[in-house]
Amino acid sequence: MRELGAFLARFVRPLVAGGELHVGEPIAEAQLAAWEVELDVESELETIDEARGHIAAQLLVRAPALRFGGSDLRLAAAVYNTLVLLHPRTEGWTAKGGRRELARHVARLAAVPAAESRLDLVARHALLHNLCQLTRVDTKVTWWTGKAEFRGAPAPRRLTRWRTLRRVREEQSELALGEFAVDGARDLLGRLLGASPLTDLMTLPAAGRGFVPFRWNGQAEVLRDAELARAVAYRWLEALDAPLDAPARLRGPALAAAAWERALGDTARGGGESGAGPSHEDVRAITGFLVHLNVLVALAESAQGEPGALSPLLTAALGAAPKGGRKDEAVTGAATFFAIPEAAARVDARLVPPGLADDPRLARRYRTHRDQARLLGGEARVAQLERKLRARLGG
Amino acid sequence: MLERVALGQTRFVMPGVATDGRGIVLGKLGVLVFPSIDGVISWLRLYGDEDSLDDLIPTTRIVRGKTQLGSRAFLLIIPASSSYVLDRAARCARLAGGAAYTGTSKHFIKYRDDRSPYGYDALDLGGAPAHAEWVLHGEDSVQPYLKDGEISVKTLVFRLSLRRIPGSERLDAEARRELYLTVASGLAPGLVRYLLRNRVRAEATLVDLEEKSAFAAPGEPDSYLLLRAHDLPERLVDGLRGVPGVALFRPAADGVGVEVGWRHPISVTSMSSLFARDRFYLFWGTRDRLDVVKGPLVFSAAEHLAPLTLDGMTEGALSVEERTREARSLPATAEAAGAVGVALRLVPSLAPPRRVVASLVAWEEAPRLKKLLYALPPVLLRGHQLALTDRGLLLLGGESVDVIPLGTLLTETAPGLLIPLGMDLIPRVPNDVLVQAIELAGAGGAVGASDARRLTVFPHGAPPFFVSAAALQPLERRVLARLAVPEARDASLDAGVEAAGAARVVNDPVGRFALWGFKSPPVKP
Repeated sequence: MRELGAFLARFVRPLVAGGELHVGEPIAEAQLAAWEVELDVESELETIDEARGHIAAQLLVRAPALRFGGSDLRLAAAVYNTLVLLHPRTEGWTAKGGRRELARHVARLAAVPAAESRLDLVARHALLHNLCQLTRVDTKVTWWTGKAEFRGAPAPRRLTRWRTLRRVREEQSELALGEFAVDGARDLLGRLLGASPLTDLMTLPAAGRGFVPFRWNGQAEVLRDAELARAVAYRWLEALDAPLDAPARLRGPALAAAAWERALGDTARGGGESGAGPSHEDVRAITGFLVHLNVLVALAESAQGEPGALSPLLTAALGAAPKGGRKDEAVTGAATFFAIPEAAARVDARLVPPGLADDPRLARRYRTHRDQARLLGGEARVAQLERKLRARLGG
Repeated sequence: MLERVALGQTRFVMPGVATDGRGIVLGKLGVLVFPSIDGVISWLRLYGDEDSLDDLIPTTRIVRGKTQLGSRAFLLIIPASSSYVLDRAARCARLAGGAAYTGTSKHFIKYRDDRSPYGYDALDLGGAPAHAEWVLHGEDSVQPYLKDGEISVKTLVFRLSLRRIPGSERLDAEARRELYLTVASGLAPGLVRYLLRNRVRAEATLVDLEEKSAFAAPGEPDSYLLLRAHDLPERLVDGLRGVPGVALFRPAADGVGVEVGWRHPISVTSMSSLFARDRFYLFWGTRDRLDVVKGPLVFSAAEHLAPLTLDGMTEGALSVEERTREARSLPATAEAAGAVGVALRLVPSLAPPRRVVASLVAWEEAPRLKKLLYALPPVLLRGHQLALTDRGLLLLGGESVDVIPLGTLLTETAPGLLIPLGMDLIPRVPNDVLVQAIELAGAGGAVGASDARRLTVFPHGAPPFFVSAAALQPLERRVLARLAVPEARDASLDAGVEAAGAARVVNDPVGRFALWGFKSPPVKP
C-alpha cells in the first residue's frame, strides 16, 4: 500500500465494516509516520468512523463519538503487517530476515499503552472487533498436466480456460484465521488482542478465537465499567439456551474461569503488580464478575421448573470434566466456573452477590447451584480454589 | 424586437407577464390573431374538438381590429388560465393560420414556440400609439390595433350553417334510442297514430318559437308539434326522412337537437354554456336556421293524442264483428277477469314532487355508489337500508334522512308502493284499491295491511317487482366487505444497529522480494 486513502478504503474500512481486506506490500515505519500527518484530510475516515459508531452502539446506549486517530492507524497497520506475514509471497528463505524485522515492527506497533478510559476501550474494540473472524479463501486448481494453489487470491484466468478440454477442476476452501495463521503470527495476533481488552473478552466464546490462549491481563478495566461488563456477560451467556452440549454453551465463562485459576497460580508464583498477572484488585474484580455470571445462570433457570431441583446444565458441565488425559480448558473450566461462588464466599463475604434475598426463588436456585457444584465437583476442588484465592487476596 | 426568456428569469420588460410553475412567460390573457373570420371559426372548431370551450367562452371576445394603415385582423382574446391552455390554443391558432400572443392589458408579447420554449420578452416597449387598444409585439415588428368592431361568440356560433355529413342519416340503435321529430300541425294526428300503431313510445309537446322569423309570411304559424320518440325502428326513420313537414333531430347536448344528417361545425358539447337551460335549440340543416324554443319543455305521452273509439267506427277500433269474435275467443274462466282489467302504467306527473324515500341504483352504478359511501357522514350512513336484488340496489332512506341522490329516485305513492320521482300511476284509483290490486308473485297473495312489510317498486321501462322487508339491511352493515384480519404476531422492538459483515483476507499480487530490505525502526532509548 502506497497511498493512505487506498489503505483506509481497501483495508481499514473492510476490517471494521466487513468486506475484502486487501493485503500487499508491508507498511514501513516511515510511511506510517507520513500517513499520520496526512490522516486529517482523508474523507474515507467519515465512513470508517460511522461503521465504528455502529459497533459501539451495539454495546452502549450512548456510544461516545469515535474519531480515527494516529493510535488507531498504528493498530490497523499492525494488523495489516501481521497479515503480510501470512501472504504466500513473504514465505521462503529469501524473506526470512524481512519477516523477522516485520514481526518486530508489528510487536512494537501492538505495544500500545493500556486503555485508560471507556473511550479507548470502545475505540480499539470498534477497530479490531472482526480480528478473530477473519477468513481467507484458498483456491486449488488442477488441470490435465498439473496443479496449483492460490492462497487468498483467485486463480488466474489462464489456468481456468478451456475447462473441459484441459479438464480443469477448481476447489475453493474458506479458512478461519486460526487455520491459516502460523505460529509467529499467532503470537502477534495475541498481542493485538491484548491491545484491545474489550475485543479480547468479547471474542472469547467465539470458536475462531481458540488459536490464541486467553489470559487475564488488563481486562479488569472493562469489568469495572458496568455497561461494558454487562455487554460482555450477555455475549458470554448468549449461547446458554442454545441446543448445544454444556461446555459449548458455557465456553466463554469456562475459558475465563480456567484463565482465572491460572492467574491465581501465576500471582501465587510472583505475579501481580510486578509481574504479568492481574493485580490484587483485578483478581477481586474478576472473581466478582464470575460470581455475577453464576447468578445470571441461576436467574435464567429460576424462572423454569422447581428452584430446588438439580440443574441439568450443571450436571452436564460437571460430569463432562475429564478424569485424565488431555485437558480441554472449555470442559475443565466449566467445573471451575461453578465452583467459584462457593470458594469466593468462603474467602470473603463481600464476594457474595448482594440483593439475592430480595428474590427468594433466585436465592434458592443459586444455593442449589452451589450445593450441586460442591456435590458433583467435590469438596476437595472447592477447597483447592479457596486456598488459591485466599492466598491471592490474603483473606 | 424580442429576446428569448431563460429558465428562472423573473424580471421582464413586458408589463403584465410573469412565469408560471413551469417557467413559461404568461399573462392573464391570450390574443390569437387571424387575418379573417374564417381563421377564428377554424380555431373554434379545432379547439372545441380537443377540449371544452365552456371554460373560455364566458370571457372570450372576438374583436375586429384595425391597424394604422387600415388593414384589418380578427383578434380572439381568451383567458390564459394556464400555459397548458395557451399551449393548446397557440397550436390550434398556428394550424388555423394565426399567431398567439400573451399579455394582460395593452401590450401582448409573442407566446412561446419551439425556438424559445420559455417564451419571449420585449427589448423595449417602443413608442406605441397612445390610442392603440392592443399592441402586439412580434419577432420583427410591433403592431398596434384599434378596435373596429366586436362579434359575440354566441352570435357567431348560432349563425354558422350546419355541415352535411354524408352517410350520417343511417342511425344505429344507440342513435335511435331518443330522437326528436318536428311535425307540422296538420300532420301531427296522423304521425302520432302512425307511431302508436308501430308501438313506438313517444311523448309530445307543442312548442312556440322564441322569436318569429323576420322572413315568415303573415299568418304563418310559429309553433309546431315536437315529438320525442324512443327506440324508433330503423324502417320508420327511413320512412320519415324526406316527408315534408317532418324533420328528425338528434340530441347533441342537453336541450340541443341537430337535424339528422347534419352536424354543427363546432362541437356542440364543448360549448354547452352558450345554451340557456330554459330553452330548447333546434339546429336545422335543410332550412339553415336555428329555432330557439321557449322552455322548459314538458312532454306528454303521445298515446293520449290518439283518437278515442267510442262508436267503434273510428280508425284503429275494432268492428262489432271483430269484438264479438274476440269475446268468443276469451276463455270463460275466472282468470279471464284479469284479461279485461286495466294495466297500471307510469306516466309523467305534473303534481308537486313528493318526498324521495328510496332510490333504485342499477348494478352498473354500484361502483359509483361504493365511492360515494366513503364520503358519506356517519349520520347519513346509519339512516339508510339496502337490499340487493337482481333489478339493482334498492336504497331506502330513513325517516329523517335524505336518500343518496344516485340512480332512479323513488317516492312512496301508497304504503309500500314506490314509483319514480315525477311519475304517477294510472289509472288513478284510491290507494287501498291500488294496494289490493297488486299480486305478489311467490308472496302468496296481495299486499295488504297484514303484509305491509313488502316494498313494491315500479321502475322505468321494466316490470314491477317487490322486495321483502327482511332483505333490507342497514347500509353500514351491508356495504362492508369481508375483512380478513390476521392476528398480529408478537414482535419486539428492534432498536439494534446493523451488525458488521464478514471480513475476508484477499492477498494482492506483490513482488517476490516484497520484504527485501525491510527494517524495523531502531528502538529509541
